[in-house]
Amino acid sequence: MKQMRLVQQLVRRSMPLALGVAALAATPALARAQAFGLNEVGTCAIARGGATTGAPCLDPSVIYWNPGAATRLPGISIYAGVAAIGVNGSFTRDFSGIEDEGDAPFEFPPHLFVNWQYRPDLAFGLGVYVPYGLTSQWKSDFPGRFLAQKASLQTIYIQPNVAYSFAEGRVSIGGGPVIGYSTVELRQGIDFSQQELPAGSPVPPGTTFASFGIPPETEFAQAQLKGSTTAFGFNLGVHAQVTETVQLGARYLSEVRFEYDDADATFAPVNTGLILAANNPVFLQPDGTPVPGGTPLDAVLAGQFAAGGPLVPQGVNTKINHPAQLQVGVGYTGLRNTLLSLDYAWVDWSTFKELPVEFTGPAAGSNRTLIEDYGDSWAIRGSGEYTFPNAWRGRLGASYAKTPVPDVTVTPLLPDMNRYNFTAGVGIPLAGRYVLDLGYWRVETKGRRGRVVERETREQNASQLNGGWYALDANVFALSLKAQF
Amino acid sequence: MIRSDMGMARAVTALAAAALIGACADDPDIITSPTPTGGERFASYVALGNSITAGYQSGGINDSTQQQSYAKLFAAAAGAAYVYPSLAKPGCPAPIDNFQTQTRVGGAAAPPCALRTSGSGAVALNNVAVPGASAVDLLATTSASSNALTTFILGGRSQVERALMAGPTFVSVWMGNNDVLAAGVSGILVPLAGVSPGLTPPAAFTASYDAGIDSLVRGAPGLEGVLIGVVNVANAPVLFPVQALFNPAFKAGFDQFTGATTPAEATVIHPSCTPTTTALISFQIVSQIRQYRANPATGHPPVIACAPGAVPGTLVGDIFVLDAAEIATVSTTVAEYNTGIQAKAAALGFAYYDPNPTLLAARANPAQISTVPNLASPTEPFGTWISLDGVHPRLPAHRAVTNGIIAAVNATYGTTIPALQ
Repeated sequence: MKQMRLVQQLVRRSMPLALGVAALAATPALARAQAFGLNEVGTCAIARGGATTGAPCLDPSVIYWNPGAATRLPGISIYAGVAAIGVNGSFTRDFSGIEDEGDAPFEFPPHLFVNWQYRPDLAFGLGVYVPYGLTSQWKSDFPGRFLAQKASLQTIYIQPNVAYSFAEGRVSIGGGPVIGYSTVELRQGIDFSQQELPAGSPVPPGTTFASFGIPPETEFAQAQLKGSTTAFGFNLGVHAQVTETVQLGARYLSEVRFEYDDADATFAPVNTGLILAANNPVFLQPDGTPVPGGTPLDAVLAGQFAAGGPLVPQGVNTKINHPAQLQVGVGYTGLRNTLLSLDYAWVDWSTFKELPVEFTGPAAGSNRTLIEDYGDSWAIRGSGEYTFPNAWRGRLGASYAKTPVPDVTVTPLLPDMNRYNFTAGVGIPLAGRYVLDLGYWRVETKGRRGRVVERETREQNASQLNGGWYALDANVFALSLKAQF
Repeated sequence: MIRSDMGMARAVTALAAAALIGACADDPDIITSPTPTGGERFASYVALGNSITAGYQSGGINDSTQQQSYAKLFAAAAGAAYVYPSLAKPGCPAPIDNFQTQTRVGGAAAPPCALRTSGSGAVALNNVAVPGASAVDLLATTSASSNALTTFILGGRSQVERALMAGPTFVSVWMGNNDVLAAGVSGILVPLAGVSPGLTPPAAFTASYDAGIDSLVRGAPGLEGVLIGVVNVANAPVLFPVQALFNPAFKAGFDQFTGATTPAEATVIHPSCTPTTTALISFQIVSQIRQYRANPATGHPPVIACAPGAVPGTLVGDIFVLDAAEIATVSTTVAEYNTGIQAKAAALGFAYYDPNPTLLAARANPAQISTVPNLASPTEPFGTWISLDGVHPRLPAHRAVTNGIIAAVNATYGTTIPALQ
């Protein structure tokens, strides 16, 4: 057995462990727009299914949905609220039929907008909103925990806005810079069986501990990444009252490139419960004899987490581009007390092809690039709003969102799939200058096949990797309060 | 790739799923396992045991020999999924492929162990048997019999722990052969450091065995299974009757195997051995005599005696020799083991299968199991049923054992698993 013996110090010194770490910076999941985009920006917009670029809601959330239409809001208006997002996700394994429930907590993305109509043709405003984010989380025994057990992204955009109208107020344009602040957290297990033996070991390159019998899904460490960064972009919009009953609008939110430099990567040992048998062929003592039978594997691996080991706290760099969005829409008010709107949205997800992960510490030798290969996505959104005689507004909406995620990238991080959205809500006038908006958004999907294992090369396809079925639905409850002065 | 005889079924299912994609223009649904033809009780079959169950043959093991195990044959007959810890070729170690030259598959360049087959790792294994394992190893993660294959197959868990990871609904357990084998072929039935572990006392065996089975049952409520009796190793072809050494032709071949190049170097038959002596000689003495010729400070001198003390101050006449009393002791011990195993099976409502009648019947046909090695044969010295190490069964024996197991299971559970043809 001498040819395959591995000196313990070798293992301790350089065992690469980045496989699990590599996904640390990957994107979070289970959002309600396409991929990790969010549309929970303003309760009126939620209730109208996001079909609010051609015919914006008459509240300051237009700063996001169509910055050019801000001149339509009189005086000073303030709009603040929050959405509560609850996701039900699960993964059903092929063959065994075991179903793993998701464990994602409710998320509460807030929004705050202020608009001041300085002149009838000029308005200034400020928007604070969350266009990208959310959390995916799975239980500790989920087989995909080695890709992601928890992924959380919170990205807040702060957008000063200026809008100007002309042509007797029928056309307006607006926009402003976007200052994005993003935090990311990812927690995942590291599978000892998938770790490669050190270079120089008397085994073929790429040989993993699975080749020595370590069972798959042997979690020996849990990795956590936390990072934050700031980046910049812009949001532009144009709105036109084409006829007395027809209005058009468009907006463009630029790509914002977030570079999480020197994020914190930390590692905690997880008890494997494995006991080395006598005469084991892998772990040897300095004198070349096997580690005594009965030695816990965890004791052998303890050095990985100690000073000089690869799993000490260290920095890691990555990039997550928040893609550009283009949305166009039309609104029609030719029916009594009724607003109908139809929007088309396009998101440039095809820019999200790869995800680099670069450690700045002892795991630097394990730097890698995750393959994402997203395509562009689109959505069709429609809505209706009826104003009752008592000034209450009832809202209904529906939309279909085409996923940008290819079949081979449906993972625990982001088991994205085509979505069928149904929305409803009501706007309730209060005490003259206030309006309370309530909204509900139901997300339905058909489910989708996906994987819980790593895709290591582009030669690997979905039929080779996908091992089960992701199911997903979500409920979003929202409320906002508008004040008009 | 996970080695599994479910591969074809999965491929068919995948094709069906692909057809669904075309028909519905949408994603396929979950791929499910086909219902085992033997019924839902075989939804998760797991085999526990030692070298025979693992598929060890001719002093080695690799993916080819693993696929000849009765466990795989039984799984196939019951229509059960079967994922096993495939060992890459040439093996770990590679099996002997020529009895006369003792060369191994892959030749001299073969590594001592070619590791697990790439991608053969699976959380749920349907065969967790380990060559060399004894009854205590059902629950022990390490023991005196642990070897490299213990790690390669179990990876730090006991057999019972590893079996429970598969959520077993039906198990077969063939454990205990190693509680008598090493002592039997060494000829020393009591523990002797560096020479023999001795026979495991029946009470100790039954205690270990029952504890292992109880733990298995506790971990898998509703478990069903079949317990397989221990083989009487005194009948293993590696032990041949001393009378054969009085056959000049056999004796000449024997001497040749021991490395004798002249008549003067021939192995001496001590007067304590006569043509009517009841004694079995372990063929393992051959390699020891060769070792002695290379270095007289080691190995066994070229003398075969049939009584202890034939060469004062040595183990000659005792080591590698089973006299009549020892043969009886081995047989009695095995019978006591099997009484306990059968009682355990009865207590649990499990099936019980004793392989000894089948193997004894085959010994009646020297072409199947030869009681005296055919030293002129490079590939079948012990018959068609026994591999080149004189202990481990070949495919025909595995098939016969499988049919015996099937019959026992059908009788106990009312199943209709078809016998192998």
